[in-house]
Amino acid sequence: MKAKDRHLSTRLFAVSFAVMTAGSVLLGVGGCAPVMPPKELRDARASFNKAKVEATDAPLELDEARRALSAAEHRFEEVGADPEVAGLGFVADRKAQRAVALAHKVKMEHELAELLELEKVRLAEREARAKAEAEKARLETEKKERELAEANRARLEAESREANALAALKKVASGVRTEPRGLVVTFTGAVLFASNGAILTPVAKTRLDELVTVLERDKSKIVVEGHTDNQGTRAHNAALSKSRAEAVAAYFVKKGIAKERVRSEGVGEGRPLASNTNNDGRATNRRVEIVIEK
Amino acid sequence: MTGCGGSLPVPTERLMSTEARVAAAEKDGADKSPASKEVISRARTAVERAKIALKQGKHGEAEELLLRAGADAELADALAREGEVAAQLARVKASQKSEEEKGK
Repeated sequence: MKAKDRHLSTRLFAVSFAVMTAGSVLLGVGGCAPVMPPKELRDARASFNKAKVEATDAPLELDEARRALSAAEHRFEEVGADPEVAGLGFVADRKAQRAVALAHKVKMEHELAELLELEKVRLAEREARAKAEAEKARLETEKKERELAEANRARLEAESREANALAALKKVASGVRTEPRGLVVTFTGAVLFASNGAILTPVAKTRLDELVTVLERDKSKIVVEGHTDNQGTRAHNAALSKSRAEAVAAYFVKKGIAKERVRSEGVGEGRPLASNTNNDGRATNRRVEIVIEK
Repeated sequence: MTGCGGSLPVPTERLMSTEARVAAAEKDGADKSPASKEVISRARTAVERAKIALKQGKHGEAEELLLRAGADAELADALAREGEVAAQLARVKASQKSEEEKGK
């Protein structure tokens, strides 16, 4: 209760006490029959009882309500039910309700603060997760970019090597062509062997040495095929082509090409490149083909 | 109490302080929450009735009306502030529930 309210109550109490005391004496009320408290006071008692339970979080307001109710009760004890008791009861009732409302507010503010703190923690966790995921994605992107760059670099190197190899092969071989089975390097028989023989000529070794430097650059399988024209018996041509292919393959191995990479095959007169009816055609057909498989 | 009004001084200061309490409650949103709206309305009515009583020279009645109006205004203010926090709490709970459901 504020100072001015207390002042008013005291003043009104003094005035009313005189009136009520006189009335009690005249009417025989004081001490003879129980006086029903006014509704406002009854309401104030009920509100304060509720506040005692629910308004512990608003101790100052609860104490204010207690003092207001006490003033009303005191007035009621002194003079019984009068308008001032009703007024004081009304004020006490409102103060008790106010204490309850403010205590509820305090409780909810605590709950709100806890929820907001929880929200803050969750937000921080979400941000940390998002950051981690973004970092992971960034690293993955970087990795993919590196892999792509590496693949491009490897492809360019391979293309460059292939181009260089092709250029180098074209210098040493009679012909170079690309087939589905791989790169086919052709040497005419006259360049590699003496007529009807399978012994490599010095010129052949020089050419093959140059080829070996190309073959050493990668791990591709190598098939050495011997081919002849149709002069002589088929069996002879098959044997001759086989011997020539084996001679070239053996030379490669001797020069450092891994044995398991190299295979030889005698094709004989079976796969001519040109007509066997003239010298030029037959010369073309007498050949060794080195297939560098893909 | 009212019967003695004529002999009491004019409660000018109480009128001003009560009107200030009503204004404070209005500022805190007493007209927004259903619980406080009824209480602040009752306070305003009591203030108007007190002014009429003052004009009629019933100072004691005016004093009592203002005392009640002041108590109602303070209660309305408290209820308004309680209502505001309750609404804020409900919004946060709804938002968090929505976030939780999104996360499922």
